[in-house]
Amino acid sequence: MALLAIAMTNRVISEPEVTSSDQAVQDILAGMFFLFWAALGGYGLVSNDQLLASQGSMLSAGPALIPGLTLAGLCVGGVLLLLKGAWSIRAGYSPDRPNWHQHGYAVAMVISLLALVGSMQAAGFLISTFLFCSGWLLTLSRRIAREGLRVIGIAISCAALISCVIYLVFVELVKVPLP
Amino acid sequence: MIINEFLAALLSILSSPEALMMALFAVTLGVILGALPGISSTMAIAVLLPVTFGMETQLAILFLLGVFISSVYGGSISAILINIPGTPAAMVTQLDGYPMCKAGLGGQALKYALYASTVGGVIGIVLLIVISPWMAKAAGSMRSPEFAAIAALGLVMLAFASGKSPLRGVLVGLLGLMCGMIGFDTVTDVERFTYNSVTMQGGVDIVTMMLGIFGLSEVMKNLAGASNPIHGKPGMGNAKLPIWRVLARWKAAIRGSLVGALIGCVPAIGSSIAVSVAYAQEARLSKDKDSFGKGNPDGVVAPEAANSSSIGGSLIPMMTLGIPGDTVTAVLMGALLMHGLRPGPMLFTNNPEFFASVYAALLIGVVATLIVGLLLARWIVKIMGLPPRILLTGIAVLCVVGSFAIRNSISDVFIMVFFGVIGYILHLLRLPAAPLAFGLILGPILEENLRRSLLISRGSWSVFIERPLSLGILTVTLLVLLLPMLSALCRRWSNSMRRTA
Amino acid sequence: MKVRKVALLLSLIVFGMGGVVGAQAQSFPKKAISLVVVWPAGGSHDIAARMVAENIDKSLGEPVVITNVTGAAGSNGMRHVAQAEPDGYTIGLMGMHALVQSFMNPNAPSLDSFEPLVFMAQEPGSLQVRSDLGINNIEEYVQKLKDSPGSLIHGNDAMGGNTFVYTKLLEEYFDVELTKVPYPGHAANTGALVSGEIESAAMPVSTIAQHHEAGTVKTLGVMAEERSSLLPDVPTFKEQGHNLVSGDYYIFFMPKGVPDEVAQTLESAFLKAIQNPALQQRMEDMGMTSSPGGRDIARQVLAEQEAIIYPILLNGDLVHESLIK
Repeated sequence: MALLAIAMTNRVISEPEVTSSDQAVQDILAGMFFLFWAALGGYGLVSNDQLLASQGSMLSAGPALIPGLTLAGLCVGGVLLLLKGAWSIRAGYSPDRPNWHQHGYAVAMVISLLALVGSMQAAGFLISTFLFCSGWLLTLSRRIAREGLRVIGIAISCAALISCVIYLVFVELVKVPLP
Repeated sequence: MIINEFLAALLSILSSPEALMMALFAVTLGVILGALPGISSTMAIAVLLPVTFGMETQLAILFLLGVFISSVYGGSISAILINIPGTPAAMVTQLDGYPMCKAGLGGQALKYALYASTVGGVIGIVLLIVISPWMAKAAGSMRSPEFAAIAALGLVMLAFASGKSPLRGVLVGLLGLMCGMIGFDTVTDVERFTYNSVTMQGGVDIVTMMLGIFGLSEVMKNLAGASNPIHGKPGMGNAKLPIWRVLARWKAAIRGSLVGALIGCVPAIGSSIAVSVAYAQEARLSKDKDSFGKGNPDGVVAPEAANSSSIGGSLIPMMTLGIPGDTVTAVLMGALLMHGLRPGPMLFTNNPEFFASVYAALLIGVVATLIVGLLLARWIVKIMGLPPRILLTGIAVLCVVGSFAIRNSISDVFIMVFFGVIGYILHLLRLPAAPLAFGLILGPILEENLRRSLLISRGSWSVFIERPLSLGILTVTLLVLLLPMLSALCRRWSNSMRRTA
Repeated sequence: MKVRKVALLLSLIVFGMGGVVGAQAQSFPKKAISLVVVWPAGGSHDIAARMVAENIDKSLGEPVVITNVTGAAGSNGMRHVAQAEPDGYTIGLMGMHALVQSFMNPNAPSLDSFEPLVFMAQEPGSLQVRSDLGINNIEEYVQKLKDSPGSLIHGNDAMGGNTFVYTKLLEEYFDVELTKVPYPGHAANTGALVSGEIESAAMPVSTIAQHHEAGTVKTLGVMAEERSSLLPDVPTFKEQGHNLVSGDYYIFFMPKGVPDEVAQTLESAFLKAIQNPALQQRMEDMGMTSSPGGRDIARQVLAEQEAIIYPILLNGDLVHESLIK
């Protein structure tokens, strides 16, 4: 526990001094982020009867010791970050409208990946990968050139190439049983 | 005495064209497999095992060790080029390698890595030959308290090497620690953080997490540019690197190699800790601390030397004691068992020529990797010249396939996607992502050995201080911990203390 | 004329189809067979599976590919096979873990979801102590523990692992108490024994054979019917008057519901591969006692093992409440 306190103090003291308001918002959000996980983990610990039963006293070296310490650390750190961010903001703050659009493609990627995995089980690896690759290549090529058919042709053939190469390497060479 | 046999074995390999072809073939395969994200050195060797069944033992050893060595370098290729460590041993190479690549110095980074790997490999072999009996004895006397202390040292060093804000690095590391505790507890077999889900019972595999937070999140970051989602990817440079520039980094290379070999020979610690400590040490000792994480070549040279020299180191406990130190040596030992060889103390005394052939095979492997690496560098540069949209799509698919390939389980792919999102969020929140992986690896080692030490000492925490080696390691850890605080306190002496303990 | 032509055509078609169908039925396997190993590459299960897979190729005509599905103490792989199509293309290799996990972990598939295929070998456990303790035989070992219970620090797998079961067997048989320290895997366990962190262990013979020869540890007894070929001068427990026989068993299995002919083909192919003399020699070198047997023998062995192990788990409070028989 003492080591932990030293470490925390050390970190706090060596923090950079000035933060812009953007960074302050990031600090607040980061603090909340950690607190969220601390809460989730805490729930996981507390609802696990088997775990609590085998722990015995709080500090004995049972299976809940390190998780407990870790969660405590996350809570303390999360609160510290929150405070740091809030403190920097106290002197006036005018938030810009957050630009949600920039995350569009990233979110689309995640969703499409989940769809890819789901369809792999149904349609098999080659087909779903080919569709996935074609979809993305076409989407990403839209802005590059407007030569229509040629671009589409290149995109599709690249998609096919990627799917086949990966299939060959992983399934034939490494013998991974892709669906 | 052993030198004679070593030279004899070396000569026999060099004079046999079949053996040389086999070595080159093995090394080429190893580099490619190692570079593929999701295929670790362990998998590469396991997959190529059947190929060696028909071979005679010497050739099989040459083949497998060639794959081992080259796959470690191969992992660095993808770490540098696409920010995904192809093998866990490359998990710090991308911290400085990828920024170098983004700045157009990718080819040079590859060369740095290659030369550093060669130096590290050779030093590892030399240490292996010269001091393996002593190192074996030292490693053999290490027990749980020492392992726990080393893991603590690694964690602390990494927290402080995580760039500008140690607090954020440590907190992310704590998250990583928690991820490492998902699944069955190894000591008491109790479920932790499984939320009654079968998927969670299996725990989080490090490669899955790395593919997510380094690979997928990088793809997402590239996609989420402003209006034009695909920024032009900077050129790779021409990969020309004058030798003198490499030689100028000799200090980092030597330091990295020593760290790698020493830590590598401790069983159950593994190369990840070796490279992490090498990197962190280099960051602390460098005069140019701030440039670490932004593309400092020392940040590539040190861990690369370390992961290659740790190969030699990790073979020591396997060959002298018959105890495999990590998963890769476990597979190697399995392969040797299949060929009728049983590494261990008896083999050491009875069959010294076996050891000689291992040393020779290692040396050939290192040299072959250098040759193949140099040849491939040009081709790799060409591949990276492809339009970004192709690369991004390909990487996304690779992440999916790679995460499936580890345990042949679809749920690992979902876990990978989850960590991809987490990595993206971390980026948005200005939090470093690497400590997540470190926490995942080092956390369980620390916890397991900590609790086992307490179990054996029947609850007495003083066991860590009573044993001299563990005391020494912990003292170093404490120094690392306190040093910045002391210097920061001195700096802030004149300022008003707003944040007091 | 027309009718004859039509009749000829029809009969040709029928014969043709019959031929194709017949050929289909005869040509199992048509593609590679996946052999699921639930432990990571390099372990003894993995090696055994690879050796068998190497030998099977010729008789089946299609390759047998090793697939490592690891995690959750082997349950991930077991579940993988249980949920696979019962068409003969997915087979697994199980050991004692499957039995233990089926009682300890409600998420692990019960043994009723499997059909044992072939019994391959058994790998007996043994008891060893560090040589510097001055204990020379079982009697002294037991005596020391009876004088001061828990005085020997003993390493074994985490609860439910093989060496854990051997240890509990020993404790119950001799009515003694050891201080048990868990290790993740046999390699770490052996390392601890060699480094002196623990004083005794119950490892399979192959793992500690060379340390016994080197003199670091002393093996007090082997839990088998006959002496191990790796340690011919170590008596079995039976010889010393104690009926302690236990070991990890290697049984190939398939999901329930595989058609009989497919099962037959597999059974004979596997048996033939295992009975290959070179393989037998290699297994002996690795410390396994091989007595290959088909489905019936496999079923019998499994039932016997369950009878031995279930009571131990029950006594140790390890059986999950939902799984108590």
